[in-house]
Amino acid sequence: MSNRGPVKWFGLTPSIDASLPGVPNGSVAKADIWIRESEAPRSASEDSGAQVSLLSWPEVGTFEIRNGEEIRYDLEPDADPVIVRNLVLGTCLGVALAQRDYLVLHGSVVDVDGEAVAFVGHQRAGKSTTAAALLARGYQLLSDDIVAIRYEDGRPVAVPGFPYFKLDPDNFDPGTLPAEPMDRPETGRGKLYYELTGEFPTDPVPLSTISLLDSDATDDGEPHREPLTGHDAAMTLLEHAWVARVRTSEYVESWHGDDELSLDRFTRLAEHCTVQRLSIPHGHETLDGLGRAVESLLDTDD
Amino acid sequence: MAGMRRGHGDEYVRPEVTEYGSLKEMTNQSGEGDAADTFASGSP
Repeated sequence: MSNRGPVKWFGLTPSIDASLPGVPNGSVAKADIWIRESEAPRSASEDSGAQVSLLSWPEVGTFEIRNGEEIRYDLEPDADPVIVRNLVLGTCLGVALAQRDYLVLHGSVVDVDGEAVAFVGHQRAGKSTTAAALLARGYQLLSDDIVAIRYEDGRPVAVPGFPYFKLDPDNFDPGTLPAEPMDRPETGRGKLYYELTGEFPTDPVPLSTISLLDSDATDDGEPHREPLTGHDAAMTLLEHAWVARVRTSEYVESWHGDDELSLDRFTRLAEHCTVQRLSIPHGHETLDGLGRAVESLLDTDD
Repeated sequence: MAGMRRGHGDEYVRPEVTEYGSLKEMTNQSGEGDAADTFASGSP
């Protein structure tokens, strides 16, 4: 990533005073968000007007996310630096974006012919794999795991994240993708991170479609597409909101700040883009084959 | 969404049941192995 010029993550300039394997660090004077390892995070009660989330994982450490401007953490002695990186780039950054009033979904998003197409779903639904499959078909990945949405001129746009994505190489051969593998956690657990090679976009892309991946919804072995509208669409989006995922989790120690889980926000989003359920049967042997199946569903205009 | 909204500075209380069911049930669909992978991958 060091050859790409100034780093932007979700439209923000990060200042990284920490060692995150594979991620260039360096202090930036006019940064939007600071990432640093430091002493024990402050108590949230220290500043009652702040948005502060305190997250803690055993054997890793405690992470404080403050006002969408700072992620700092205090690590346990034997914390796996790759897991720390993954938590900073994942769970913590998603919370920071929500604090900055981005509408954040847990999913992946790809630029398909100038329109952002997002995929949400439960764990193991295939969000990252679907994005990688479209990447294999030549489309531009905008973000994996975090879908950060803003409004520009009254329309939702997806903001490009960073050139990293996750994929389980045991499921699909990533060999044809324009990407290089990064470090894996010492435990061997978790998907492998890859870094895209080449240019990575920084401009937001109009969001056209959000697809709920649900492979259990097909019983004839054929791909299906089912439009979701109204309350069903809004609830689907709310269910996959980043904050909805995080705030019910055991690792949340405290949570201070505004609540982004207003159904009105998701109703508005559903009114501005297509929301649909996609059922894509398992069994594709290559990312390209899966990508073709996804393309066939995205082409449907009804 | 009644019961889920909070204001600045309130201590967070995990919601148990909402008008559309338990958020916890909705967001924990996998077993322990998946949970460990999810955590190690940095996903929420």
